[in-house]
Amino acid sequence: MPKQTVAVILTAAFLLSGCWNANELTDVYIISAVGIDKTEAAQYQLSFQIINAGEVAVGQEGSARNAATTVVYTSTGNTIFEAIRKMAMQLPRKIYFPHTSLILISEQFAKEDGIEKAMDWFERDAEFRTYVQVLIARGDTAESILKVQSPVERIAAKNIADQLETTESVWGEYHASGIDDIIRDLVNKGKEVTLSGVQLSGDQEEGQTMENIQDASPVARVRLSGLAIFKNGALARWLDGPEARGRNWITGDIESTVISLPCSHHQTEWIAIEVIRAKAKVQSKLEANNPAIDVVISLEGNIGEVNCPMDITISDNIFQLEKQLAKEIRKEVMNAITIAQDEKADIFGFGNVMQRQHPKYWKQAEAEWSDIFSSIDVNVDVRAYIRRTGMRTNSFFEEAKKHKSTE
Amino acid sequence: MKKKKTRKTTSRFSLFNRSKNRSADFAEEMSTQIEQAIDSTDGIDSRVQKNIDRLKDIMGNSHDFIVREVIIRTEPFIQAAAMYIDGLADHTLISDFIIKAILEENHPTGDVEPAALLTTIKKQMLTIANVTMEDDWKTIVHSLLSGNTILFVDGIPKAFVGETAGGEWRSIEEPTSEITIRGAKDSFNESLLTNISLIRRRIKSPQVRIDLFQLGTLSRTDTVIFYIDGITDRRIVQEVEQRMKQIKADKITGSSYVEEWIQDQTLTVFPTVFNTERPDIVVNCLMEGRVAILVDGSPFALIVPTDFSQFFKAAEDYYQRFDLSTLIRVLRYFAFSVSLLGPSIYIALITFHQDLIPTTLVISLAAQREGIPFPAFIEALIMEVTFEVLREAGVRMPRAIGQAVSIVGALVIGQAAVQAGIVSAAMVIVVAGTAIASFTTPAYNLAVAARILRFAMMFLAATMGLYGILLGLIIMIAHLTSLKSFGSPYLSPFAPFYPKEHADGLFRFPQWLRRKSEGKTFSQTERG
Repeated sequence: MPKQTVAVILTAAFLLSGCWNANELTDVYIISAVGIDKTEAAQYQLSFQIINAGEVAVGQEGSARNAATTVVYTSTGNTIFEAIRKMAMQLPRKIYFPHTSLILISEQFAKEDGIEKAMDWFERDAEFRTYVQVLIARGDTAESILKVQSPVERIAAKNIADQLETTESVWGEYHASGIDDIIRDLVNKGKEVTLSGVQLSGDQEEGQTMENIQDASPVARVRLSGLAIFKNGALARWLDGPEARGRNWITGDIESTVISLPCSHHQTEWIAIEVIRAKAKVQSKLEANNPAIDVVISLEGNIGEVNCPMDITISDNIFQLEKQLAKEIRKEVMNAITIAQDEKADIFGFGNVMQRQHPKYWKQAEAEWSDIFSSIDVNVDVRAYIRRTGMRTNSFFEEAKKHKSTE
Repeated sequence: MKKKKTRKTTSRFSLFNRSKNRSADFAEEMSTQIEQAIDSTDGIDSRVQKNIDRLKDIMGNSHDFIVREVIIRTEPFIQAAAMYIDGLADHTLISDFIIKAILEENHPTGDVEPAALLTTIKKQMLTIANVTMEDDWKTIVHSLLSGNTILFVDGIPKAFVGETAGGEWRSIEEPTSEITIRGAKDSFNESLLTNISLIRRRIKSPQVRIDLFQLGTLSRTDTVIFYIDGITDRRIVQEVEQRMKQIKADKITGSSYVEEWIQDQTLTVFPTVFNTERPDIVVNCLMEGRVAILVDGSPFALIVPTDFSQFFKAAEDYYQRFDLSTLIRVLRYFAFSVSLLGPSIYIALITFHQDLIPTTLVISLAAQREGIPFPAFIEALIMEVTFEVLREAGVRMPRAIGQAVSIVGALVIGQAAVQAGIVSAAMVIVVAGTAIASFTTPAYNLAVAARILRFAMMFLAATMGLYGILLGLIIMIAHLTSLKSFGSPYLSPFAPFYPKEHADGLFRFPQWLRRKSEGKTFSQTERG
């Protein structure tokens, strides 16, 4: 090829590629959260939580907060994209999504329309990150929850997203799901979607004002509440507390948690076990076209707190505790399974296991899997091990008791 | 193959020098006229007075041209005259070993043949160390201008040239631009002889070769090339000699003049000739098979061939532990990238890729930029240009008022600019960080390259974001690989990869691990 041709092609390749525009930071509003509600006219109502950068950043003037750190604007449309573009009528700048940390869908929307109808734009758009967490606004509109000012963490959306992540790692009842997780589960027949919920407590009107962040005890708070079970994309029911944890034991979403066990013979005295490692192994069985599921949960824990005079230097006592722990966890798991089977929603992904291990069977069972699931046999085996007892062995209770008896 | 290569280099060389030649033409013509005038006078006369007149005529009655006439004896009358240039020649040498010698030593008596007289004077009378006989006016004039003393004696149609070159030089001082903590504390000065001795003292080997060139048709500057026979590739030496011979300048007032004449490529921001003011670095380079060029009157020696990595080697590297030296070298490469790309990456991130910045930081940046009137690129340009102006002011200003610049400068590109809302605090940090990073490059001429390219990179970043920076880097690296320094690829030992040279490339291995000096080789492969 002559040199000129090469030069022209290279120059063209350099100058014609690339597809984005320059955006000065002063020309965009950074969105921290998107809320999805439904209007009475059955349109999408989108709420955008905009970060008021000047108030969030700690500048030379110190960190005094004079105005709301996050501001919520709403807009409606027949599609999400329409509502987003219509925001321009209310805002002087473009809205900028890559720093969004949260999508909040109202319970009403999730129940009536199903979350599928809220996913496509987020996945299709080039700016949006698909790992953004999705939560359900329980019993309230997404808008009202996004409007609550958060006291210490200045960005309200980050407050919620971090609550979820922290809870996931230390308590285990909830788990974070990104857009990509949800879409994967929606596409798979073998697993139903579960999403964590957030609830507003306290006075919502007060929560929007600066007073909420000035009080020692905020009047309005946003707290995590429940795990929503979806069936075919629509919200079916909520799992609360131990039920939600029961689901997470099987899916392996628990990093660490604490379980309180009653001391033997003393129902009022408790021992806390910190679970530090939990692993679940799900196996499917097929005997004469009768499917069954075996779940083996193995976990390790430490003794975290002892409030009764139990001698934990005796290994038999530890073994006893291990048995108790296993029993307790099995109870949580079985409870969750029963509820899920009632709802005919395979929130554990047993179908996926079946598909992997018995693909032939899966082909014929796929269509009616939810019915099969509702009556399937699930054998749960929990193997719990207690490894350490913290910074001391026996509680001071033991010693105190000894002294008292000698006196 | 070798011949072909040489021819090719020559042709490219002359192509580049075509315009340079034109400027030198006039000077050359002038000096030729003078030379012709010298030539036209006949040989040396046997009468002293006539020779004095002739030399005075050639020198144009310069007032520093001194003629000292002495009478060797009265019967028969023999007159002698010593001539020298005031300030270039050493007065003590002249009076003690030439004048005194002639006046006091055992004079031959009776009638003497001119030939016998010559021998007597040379062998019995003149006590100066080095005396030569010359009968060519051109050589005599050159000797005179080099500080030697010319002695004419009646009856002898020849000139005695006594080596009396001396005069005042700056003493050997500590290096000013390449400072070390533990290294040698001497540096070159403006005297070629001193500089040669500084190198000679460090390599006591007869393999050291020194070739003299006289450059500049008017200035007649002594220039030497240094190399070690047996280590240096002959082809490199030939190439250097050839390029030195092609210099057609009227004056050479510093080694940078020579550099511009002999460098491989003019149209590049990257230096292809290394320079140093430290004799120990020159010695190291000679041992590596490089050629050093020393120019009279310049305290900087040139080193060829050079490569990109050499500009990152500071003298200190060889005087500190190898581990520290290696780490510091890596740090220098990093700092060079920062000084090249710092502002452009910031511009790209803040105008195109805000999504790559952590949320907390992007909010902080957004808050800072809230009141800034200019786009990031203009803001960066304002700051960079201000800094360049400050830097230039700091360098050019008399030392006595230097304080003022630093005070005003700190205000202009510091707090005041931020408070006035002209630039954001983050931009000040970026520009300041870039400036500090640029000072870590040991070689000033490479730091300058980064300084120039920084602006191009900023423009690319402002128009195309990180993609533009990437394009810029690709072009820059393609250009670097195309460069050669005296037959040696500029990016060696990285590209092409020479494993042996890595002992002193990005890393510095302990001395005992480094193999015997291998020597730079003249690459046979030619682009095209």
